[in-house]
Amino acid sequence: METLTSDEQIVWRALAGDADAFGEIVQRWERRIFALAFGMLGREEEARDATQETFFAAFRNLRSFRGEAKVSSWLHRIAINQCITRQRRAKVRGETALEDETSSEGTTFLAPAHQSPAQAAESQERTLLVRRAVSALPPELREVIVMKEFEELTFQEIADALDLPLSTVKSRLYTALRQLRMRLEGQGAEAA
Amino acid sequence: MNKEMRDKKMQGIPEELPEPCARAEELVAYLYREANDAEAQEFEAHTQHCESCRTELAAFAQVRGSIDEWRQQSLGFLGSPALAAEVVPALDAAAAKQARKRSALAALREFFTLSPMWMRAATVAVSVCVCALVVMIVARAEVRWDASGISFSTGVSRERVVERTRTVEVEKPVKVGYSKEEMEQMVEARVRQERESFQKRPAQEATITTGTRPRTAVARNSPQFASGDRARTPSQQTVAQRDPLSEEDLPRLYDLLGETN
Repeated sequence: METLTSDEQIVWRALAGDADAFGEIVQRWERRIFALAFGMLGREEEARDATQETFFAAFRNLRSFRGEAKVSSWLHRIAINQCITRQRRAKVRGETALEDETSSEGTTFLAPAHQSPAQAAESQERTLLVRRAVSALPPELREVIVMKEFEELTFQEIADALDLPLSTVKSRLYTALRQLRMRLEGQGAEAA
Repeated sequence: MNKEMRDKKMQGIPEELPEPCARAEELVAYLYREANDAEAQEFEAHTQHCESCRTELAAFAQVRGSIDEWRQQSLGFLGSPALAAEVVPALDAAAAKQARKRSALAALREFFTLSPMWMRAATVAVSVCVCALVVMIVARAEVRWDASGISFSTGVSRERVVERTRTVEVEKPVKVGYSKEEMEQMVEARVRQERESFQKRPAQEATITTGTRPRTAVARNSPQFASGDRARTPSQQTVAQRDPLSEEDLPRLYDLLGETN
């Protein structure tokens, strides 16, 4: 993983007029931002659009970046805002990520090669359950669990990105895990 | 399981979990390996005695495993070049547009830096003239130079910029066309003419005609004089009885002026 200092250097180069500098930022962070968006939105196409919008917004507001926060925190904050905005729009339209489960635009799952078809089907079933559970979380809990599990950010990085105290991040993460446990155990027992 | 709990289960409402331990934040830090060595050892010792924390650690680990499984399946198909191929060219286009603006400005700055002074002055002068012309066209300005002077108008109001001094006509004591000397000459000539004609006429009757007031001189021994027709002014005396060159017989200047009108 590249150091945060090098990310900042790239941003300063972009601010100085280097046309290729911001492209390096995109290539470095697109996978992680996409992972975050996918964890928040649950749809590949939505996550892709949100990722693009994140980098476009970052480029437009590049001059407002003062270096007080890390580049990663800055990008995550923009991505979270993009995802929350999309979720609100989807909520207004009455759409949910679960509606794409049976459609052709739904997420494509890539089963590991060593799994049998039965195991792959079981794996997809568990994945569907956890997707439902994560989607059912409140936004403030969903964003911390996605940033921790999908982005693998530290507590401090999450606190910086969301502008929250460290203890609040830990508390929300604990609450999110507790609710996920309740839902997965309940759905698992129901399925059984 | 009572009916209420069965209903909740059927509706997907999770059951209540045991009350958590007060060391939730330490549990999370230990779970995600962000606790330092001392904190980790201390919490491990705690879990030896706290069943709630021990149970939750195991349950949370399963949840994390499910999430990780979902993450592996979802992100395994992600193609980074697709995203970068879409985003980077758009950003490059935006950056190129900014660079074009900067390069045009830089080129202009370079022109003024390298060009000689006379070229800079000429460029500035031409630019000013063009701007002034544009302003005048936009303001529908109009410049006129006629006999009365130069006038400038902008389509809103008319202003006279330059005016010639007006000539004021002063009333002259004599009529136009005749000077004082000419008038005196005319008077003398008329007087001379009247004298000559007066001298040539018969002594009994001589009429001095002066414009609109003809006067007839009547002799004392004439029948008219005897009839009492004395309706005549003192000037209507016979010339023979008076000095033909007397002041009274001379036509007055006013009468002469009246004739010449």
